[in-house]
Amino acid sequence: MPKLVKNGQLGDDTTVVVTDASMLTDAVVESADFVVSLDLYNQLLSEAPEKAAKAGLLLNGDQDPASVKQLVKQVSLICIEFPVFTDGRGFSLARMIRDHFDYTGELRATGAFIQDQLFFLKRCGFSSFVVADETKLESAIQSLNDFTDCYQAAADEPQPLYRRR
Amino acid sequence: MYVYDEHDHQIIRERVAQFRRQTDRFLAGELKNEEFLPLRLQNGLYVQRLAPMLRIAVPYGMLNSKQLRKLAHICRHYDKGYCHVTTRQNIQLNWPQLEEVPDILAELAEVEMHAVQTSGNCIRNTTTDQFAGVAPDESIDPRPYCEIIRQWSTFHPEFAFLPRKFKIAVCGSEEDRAAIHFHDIGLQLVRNDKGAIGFQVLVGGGLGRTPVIGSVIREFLPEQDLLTYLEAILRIYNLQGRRDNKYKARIKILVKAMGPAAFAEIVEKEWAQISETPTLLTEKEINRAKSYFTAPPYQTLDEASAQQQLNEQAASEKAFSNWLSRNVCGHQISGYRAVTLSLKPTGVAPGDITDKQLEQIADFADRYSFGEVRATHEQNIVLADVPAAQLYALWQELRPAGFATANIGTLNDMICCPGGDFCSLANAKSIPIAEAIQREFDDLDYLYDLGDIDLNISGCMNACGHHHIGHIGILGVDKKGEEFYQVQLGGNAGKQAALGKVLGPSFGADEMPSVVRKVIDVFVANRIDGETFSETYLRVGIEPFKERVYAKAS
Ligand code: SF4
Repeated sequence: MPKLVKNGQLGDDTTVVVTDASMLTDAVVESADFVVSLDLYNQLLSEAPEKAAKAGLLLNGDQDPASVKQLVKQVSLICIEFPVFTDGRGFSLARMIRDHFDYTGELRATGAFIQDQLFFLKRCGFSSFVVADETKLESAIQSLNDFTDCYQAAADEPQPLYRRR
Repeated sequence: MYVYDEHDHQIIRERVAQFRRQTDRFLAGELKNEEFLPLRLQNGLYVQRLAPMLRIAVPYGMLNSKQLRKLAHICRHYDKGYCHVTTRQNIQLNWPQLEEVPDILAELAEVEMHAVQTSGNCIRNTTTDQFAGVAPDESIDPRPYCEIIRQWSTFHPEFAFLPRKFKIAVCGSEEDRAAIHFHDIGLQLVRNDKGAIGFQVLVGGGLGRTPVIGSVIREFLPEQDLLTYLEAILRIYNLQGRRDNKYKARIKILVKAMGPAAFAEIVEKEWAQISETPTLLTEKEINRAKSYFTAPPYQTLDEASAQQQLNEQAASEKAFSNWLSRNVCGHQISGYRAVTLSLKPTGVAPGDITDKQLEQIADFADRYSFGEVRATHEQNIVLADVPAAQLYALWQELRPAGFATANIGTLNDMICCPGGDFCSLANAKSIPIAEAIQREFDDLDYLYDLGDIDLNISGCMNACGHHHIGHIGILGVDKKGEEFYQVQLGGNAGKQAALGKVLGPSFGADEMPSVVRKVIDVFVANRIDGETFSETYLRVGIEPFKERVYAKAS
């Protein structure tokens, strides 16, 4: 099972990715954390708002950031999936969700990102990370702290170095 | 020059440790090749035709003598005793061993150097005028702003995986020696009518496969807004730049597709949301950056008597006089001059420099120029603060060291990429073409008579040799596995920014010296009253050149 690194703690990643409304049985809604695409989320909002209320959002960088602006107040889990690790859109999307939309819930990185990006992901506002390869967990946690100091302001440090020097 | 404090040291040391661990994981098979690739690129490490290549950052071209000596040591100890000055003011090693790169980086860190973001799809080394701080036509010194941009862009967490590489250049003078029209972002320092400092912002310029002249998207950006505005541009590019096709991924394609006005509009919209964040520069920080680029302890020198002495020395020695007029230029401080050390003697690959020469340059810098030098994008080295009265003595030392070739700005001071001798992307060799042309034009007096001519050579469309913006540009092309060369005319890197036009069908390597000779003959035949090559070209157009070069032998 993929592992979840969250606030420096380790756990199993049990989140269910729901790709179709028919997957949303009562059992799933009751018992599991689940995430849905933006389209499905909007569909649930009109058809089954009680299910929407329990859902997390799964984004991947294809969405116009403005289209999630209103939703972030209603969800407590947003996953941003990296289709390939070299696709850096998720970094900017995360910053907009944190900085512009003031989202304070869990922001999770999923998909093809690599451990060497963890430090940057954290800086951009991600608070949890799905690590598929269990054998790399220890090394990955080390990568989360590759640097102890940074020049720029970001989601983890509102003051750039020049205001702290 | 900027001096690291504990924060800078810490960040660079941690980078060395990070890269050491990544290299170990790669060598142990724990990090896949395709995953290591962008990580090593962002540390300047390519794998080239013959060996890895390490590109060391020289922020905006500034080096001190201690750093030069360290580079000499690194060339000797880890490489084959030489390195290469690139067209973006950086230094390249051609033969390092992958396993030793972390050690090289650790050595560099000792002298406040690194190889951070010298390659890869991230924000690269910011470049500027090699005469920054001393050029008589300068209104504002660009270097403090370059350093501010360097720090902001170093490990910027949001912009390490952009669609493609991203280059920024800053110019603070009348003449543009930083080619700001041909960068992803070009910044021209200006003052507004109230005397406040700011930037004219250009975006979407670039060379490569699709050369484009940058567009102005803002006439005046107050200096304190520099970083928030850059952040807005980069964010829009990161989110909207194309990622489906590597050849269409640069910001120039996005700006072209949207139109500069529409692009400016969304940047302004994004910027409105972040302009008041703590990334807004403080006056304190701008002043702190400026405090590292104050004037060195200049002496009060007598300009008139120094000039008179130079005139006398020049009158009695023609070689000195030539050097004085080609390799020495004016200075903001009376009694001082800026001297360009030519790395283009015939027979040496343009921009190549040996370990011993690096040490010699360090000595010259210490004795003649406050211990500092600059690397230029034309692949030479500048001693920026030499007392005029010492020029003769310096010249006598430069000659045996091989730096006094009096060819700066001439046809033979060509910009040339490493090409097929080193680069795995090349279509054709470029260094032997440079040398063949230098040999064809071996008469210095004739070269001087021709005046300033930029001849730029690239070994492929990637255009590292800036062939589109040479007055004469040469591009290596591959035709059924054979090396050919296309000639372009009329490019211009400066304020009169222009892209060269293709002359016609390409030529074999052996034809190139005579082709350039014919181009020059047409210039000389049409030239009026000491016009420069580009003035004559602008007046007569490309036709007479075409006619002559492609004339059938009768
Ligand atoms: S222009 Fe082409 S051949 Fe020359 S260095 Fe660049 S990539 Fe290599």
